[in-house]
Amino acid sequence: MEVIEYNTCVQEWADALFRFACKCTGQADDAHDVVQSSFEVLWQKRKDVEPGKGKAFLFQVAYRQSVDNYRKRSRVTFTEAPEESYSPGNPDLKKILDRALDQLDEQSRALVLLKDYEGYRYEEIAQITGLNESQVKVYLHRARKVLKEYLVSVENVL
Amino acid sequence: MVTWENYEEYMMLHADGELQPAEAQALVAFVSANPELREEFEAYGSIKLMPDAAVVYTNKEALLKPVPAKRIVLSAWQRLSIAASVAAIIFISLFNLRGTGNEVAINETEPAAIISSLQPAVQTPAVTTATPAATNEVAAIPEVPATEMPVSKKPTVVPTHVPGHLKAPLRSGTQDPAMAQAEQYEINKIAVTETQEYVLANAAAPLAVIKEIPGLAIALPAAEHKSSILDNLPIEDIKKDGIALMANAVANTYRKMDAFKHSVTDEKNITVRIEKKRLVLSF
Repeated sequence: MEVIEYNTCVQEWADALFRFACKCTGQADDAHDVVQSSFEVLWQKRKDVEPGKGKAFLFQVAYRQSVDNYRKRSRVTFTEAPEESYSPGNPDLKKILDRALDQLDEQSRALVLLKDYEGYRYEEIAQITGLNESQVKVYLHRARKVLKEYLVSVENVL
Repeated sequence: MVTWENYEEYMMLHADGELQPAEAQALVAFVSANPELREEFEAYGSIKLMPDAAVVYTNKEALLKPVPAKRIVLSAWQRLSIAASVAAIIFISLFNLRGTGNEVAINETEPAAIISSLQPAVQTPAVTTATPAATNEVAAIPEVPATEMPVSKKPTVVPTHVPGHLKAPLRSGTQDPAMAQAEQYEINKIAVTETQEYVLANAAAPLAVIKEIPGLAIALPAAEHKSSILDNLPIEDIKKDGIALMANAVANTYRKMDAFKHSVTDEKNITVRIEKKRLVLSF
């Protein structure tokens, strides 16, 4: 990967990486650190990263830093995400989904984000997270079931 | 096949977008056949998270790296082609700068022509610098005004003393006209032979050997000075003759090349005359 391709990765994937890190860490400042360090690692390893693989490499680094590091430090305190001015679909449903996401552990949350935000397939998520494809499928289905049950329970309350 | 045992997995796979179109149609058909599953099916479909486009990373400029200046690397054949183009431009420019003449007649056998032109000098003592061959060539192609070969510039001109030498009076002093004519013929024959040797030697270069010609000694002081350089060399006479012949050949070649360089008629054509043929090179 050359400098131009690295800069292209910054322009194309910095926002997506920041949103992913925000949801994983729950802190905007931590998300900034995750994005910055992820691109720093990409810059250092750019000679080993093939063109077109920059996005997967970035999310791999961000996943490790967001999930592993923050889980070990036990410093994940889920607060409200950065102010959101755009809410696709039902705004109430989005807030409910955000709260439902908080019910998940870091790894399941990251898997759901990689699946829903970035549209990765099971195989690609397995490469990013270091899990095998079956594990990804099982963890994702568990997370889906938790989200569905939370959504149904909230609707029942409302 | 969707059953009661695996319908939930199918629903989650559908929410993940991992079902094939046929499998998705089978799931929809199964849910349609079992309306009690519709609420659960819609719940799985509604938990798909959507990214918030308003959340952006605002410090991208700090992540960007400066792009190094682009360096143009030429391949080997590109460098060679550029070098050849520059050489060609210089070569043509030099020709254009020096190409004042329009056409030059190059006579490959000029020394022989000069010598042969001396043959009638036995009967007509005057020796001209314009060779008969060259004159004939100019007349043969009248449409192109041929420039005379730089014969008049080179030191092969047989000066006027040669006729004087050829006009030497009878040595024997005989009164018989027939005998006097025969004796005069022998004298002239010797003089022609000596003149040929002089022309061959003097046509070359500063180091050309000028044979000892009694009549030429006074008329060619500069030539004597040049010949003395070679004469004073501590080498054998046969080697001096060899050097003189080589110098003659070099001088002839140089003269032809000089004439050729003046043969550029314009920027696009080069006309060269070789014997009675004219070669026109058009670009």
